[in-house]
Order: sequence, then C-alpha cells, then structure tokens
Amino acid sequence: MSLRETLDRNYKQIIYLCLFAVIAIPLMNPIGLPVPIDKTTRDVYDRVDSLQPGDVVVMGSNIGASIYAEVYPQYVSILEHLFRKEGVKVILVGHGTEAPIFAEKALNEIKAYDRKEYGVDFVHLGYIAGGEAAISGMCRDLHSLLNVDYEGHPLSDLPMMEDINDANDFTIIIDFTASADSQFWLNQAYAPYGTDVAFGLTAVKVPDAYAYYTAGQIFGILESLKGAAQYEVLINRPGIAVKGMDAQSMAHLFYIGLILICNVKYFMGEKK
Amino acid sequence: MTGVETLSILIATTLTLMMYTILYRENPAFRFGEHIMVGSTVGHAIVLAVFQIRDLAWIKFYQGITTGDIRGLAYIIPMVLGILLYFQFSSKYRFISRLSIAMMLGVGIALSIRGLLFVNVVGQIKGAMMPLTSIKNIAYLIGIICVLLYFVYEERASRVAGPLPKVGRYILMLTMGAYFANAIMGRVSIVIGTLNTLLVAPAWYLIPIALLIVIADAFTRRKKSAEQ
Repeated sequence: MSLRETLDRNYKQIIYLCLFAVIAIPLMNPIGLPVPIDKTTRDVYDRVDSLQPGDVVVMGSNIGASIYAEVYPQYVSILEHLFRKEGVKVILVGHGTEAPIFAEKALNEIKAYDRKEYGVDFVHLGYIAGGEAAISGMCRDLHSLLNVDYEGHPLSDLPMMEDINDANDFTIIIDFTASADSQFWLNQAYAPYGTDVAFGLTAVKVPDAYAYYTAGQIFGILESLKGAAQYEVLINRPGIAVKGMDAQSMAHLFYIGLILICNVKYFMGEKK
Repeated sequence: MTGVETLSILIATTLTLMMYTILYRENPAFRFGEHIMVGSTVGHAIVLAVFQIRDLAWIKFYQGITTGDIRGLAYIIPMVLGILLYFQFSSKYRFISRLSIAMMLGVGIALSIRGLLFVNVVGQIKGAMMPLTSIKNIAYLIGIICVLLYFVYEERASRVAGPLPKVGRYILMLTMGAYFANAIMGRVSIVIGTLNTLLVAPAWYLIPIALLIVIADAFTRRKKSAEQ
C-alpha cells in the first residue's frame, strides 16, 4: 500500500482513541510544564487584589453543563481569591438557568458558608430571567427588580443588601459566560455607570473580547481553561485547571501533527 | 463519600460515556443520553421560569391587589403579554402574539441601543486612537486601515489603495486562524474537564466496561457483515 493510500483511509476512531490517550496520560501522570501568566489574567488578578474592605463585586454567570469545563474553574478561582479578601462583599447572580447550581457548587467547594457569613459578606441572587432587560433592571434599581435571593430570603433581611441599590454601588463586575451576556454588562453597567467590568470566557469568545480589552473597556479576561490555570497559579491554589494544562499542551501538539499529516496528503494529491 | 454521592457520580459517568459513544457510531445509547440531557435541561428551565414569574411578577401583582398600589397592578401587563405569546401555536390567531413580540423587540432595542453605540462605536473608535509610540500600536493601526480597505468595494478607491486591501485580507485570515485555534483550545478544554471527572474512582471503573461493550459490538457487526 502506498503512502497516499495509507493516508486516504478513514482513521476517525483511531484519532479519537489517540486523542483520549494523549489527554488522559498527562492527566494521570502530570509532566509539570510551566504555566506562564498572560497580561489579561494578571490584570484581573491585580484588580481583584486591590479591592478594599466594603467594595462590592458582582459575579455574573451563565455557566451551564456545556461550558462547565472551561469556565467553572475560573469561577472557583476568582471566588476563592475574593473570599481571601477581608471585608469584600460578593454578589452572585446568574443569567442562565443552570448558573445557580454551579454557583452553589462553587460556594460549597471553597467552603464559603463556613468561612464567611451569608447575607453579610456574600449573597446569592440565583437566576434572573430576562437577559439584557434583567441586567438593566439590576443596574438601575436592584431592589425593585428583585425581592428575594436564591433561597427565597427577602433581600430586606440581608444586611449586606441595605446599601447596595444600583450599579453605582458595584465596584467591579466579572461575568463568566460563553454568550452575549458579557456584552449586556458592558451596555448596562459600564456604559451608563462606568463600572469596571472583566470577563471569564470560553476560548471561542476570547477573540471578540480582545477588541474591548485593547480599547480599555474591560480591565481583564480569563481565557478558557488556560486563564483558570493561570489564576490558580497566581492565587497559589493549583486545581483541576493547572492539572489540565499538560494535557492541553500535548493535545495541541497532537493537533499540529495531524494538520501536518493532512497537508502532506493534500500536497501529494496536488502533485498527482 | 456517601452512597447517594457515589450513585450520582456513577449515573453521571454512565450518561457521559453514553454520549461519547457517538464517536464510535450512531446508537441507541447515545440517543437515550441525549434525550435525557435535553429533557432534564428543559424540565429545570420550566421550573425556574415558573418561579421567576412568581417572584418577579405574580407576588408584586398580588401585593398591588391587596394594597391598591398601581405599580403592583401594572405587573398584569407583562403577564398578559406573556400569555399572548402562546397564540403562536394557533394559525388563525397568530397575529395576536405579534403584539408581545413587537413589545419585546422594542424594549430590547431601546435598552441596548445606547450602550451598544457607546461601547461598540464610540468606545472602539476611541480605543483605536492610540499614540504611535510602540510597534504594537503601529501594527494595530495598520491592521485597522488594511482591513477596512479590504471592505471598500469601490473600484477606483481599491486601485488607489494598491496592495493594502490584500494585506487586510491576510490579516483577516490570521484572525480567522486565531479564532479557529481558540475553538480547538476550547474543545480540548471540554474534553479535559470531562476526563478530569471520569479518571477518578468510582467513575474510572466504568470506562473499561464501556470499552468492552464497544469492542463487543464492533466484533458482532463485523461478524454479521461477513456472514452476509
């Protein structure tokens, strides 16, 4: 069989198996490749690290099962960093139906309920339907939009919420998403109120966000699992993202190899 | 780890492996997993939607009835508009649902137009006005000009611009490459995230079982096709 005939065969299942091996082996036996820190991640870290007691951080999210692997590690890392900051108030809000489940999972993962007092240091508002209209309402008058939190406690019973009324009271907003929700925060919080915004995004959304980052409209971006790994290194809490970086590098090398083989096949075809 | 936790991990792993069987071939296990996922997501969304209507509209409307507050009573309007949307399912009265759709479109556009203009037009133009003090900034400016020239379809203007539109095309191709590379990175991240949960006990024990089932199926199919 000639080289061209060999390359012409369908190797779909074999490629999947190889990809599985290429990812699984480094996950089970980490190589320990260094994780260089991007400026976009460093900017998010520096801004969060500079927060003062009394500052309010809104963590918006649209995390669902489909983007869990990419965005959830970012969410946990930022939450952990925020919980290390004394006196910083955190509001969790979801604009995707699955978001509250993952917000609660993250809170439990960092043992939030043991470390800080609910209603005083942090509040989980749950899912708010309505997309951009809901975000607009939240930025304009939070209490007229929403009366209760995720568990159904009246907001008026939560001491932290007494002084938080609109986007003027938010120090920073970090949105974790794979869709247009990030744009909603820019439209409704950054544009009218000048509130600082950052994004935690899936890899596909990152090139879009760079336009806002270069123009100085957002102060940072966490880019997919890579951004999460970098943040885990910065806060010195290596987790699943750092563990996955070796596998990511190996998979990319594997892909480069496949692209080279396909090009060899293509040029052989051209020659023929 | 409690029994319930172990059971939930095993169910999640089984469903994940069912979904991955599509990489081998289309099969009933994949279909079953897919339908469970869609069903549970929709079921969860419906429950949340009902709670949202209750918390955001019904409670406020009810308070309006009891106190006579006009702002509370006004919540009847969005609720009625929401119900009108269901006329979509009637071919005879579908036009009624257009009222709600028109309202949603109008409010949506009105809410976003100011922010969109500020962020995507004014903000981006301001962002492009950067001092030409570094190679990065110069490259950025050249990139903007070349790409904009690529989208000028007037023939005389294109002739004056010379090779710049072509440079713009190459810059766009580089951008598409970056998009595609990011898409690959994202997909790999998803696989890594899934394997992170699969490669730990007790989930790990189900992988060889799934592989054995797939191999057995492959042999059975090969045998059947040889017999035919």
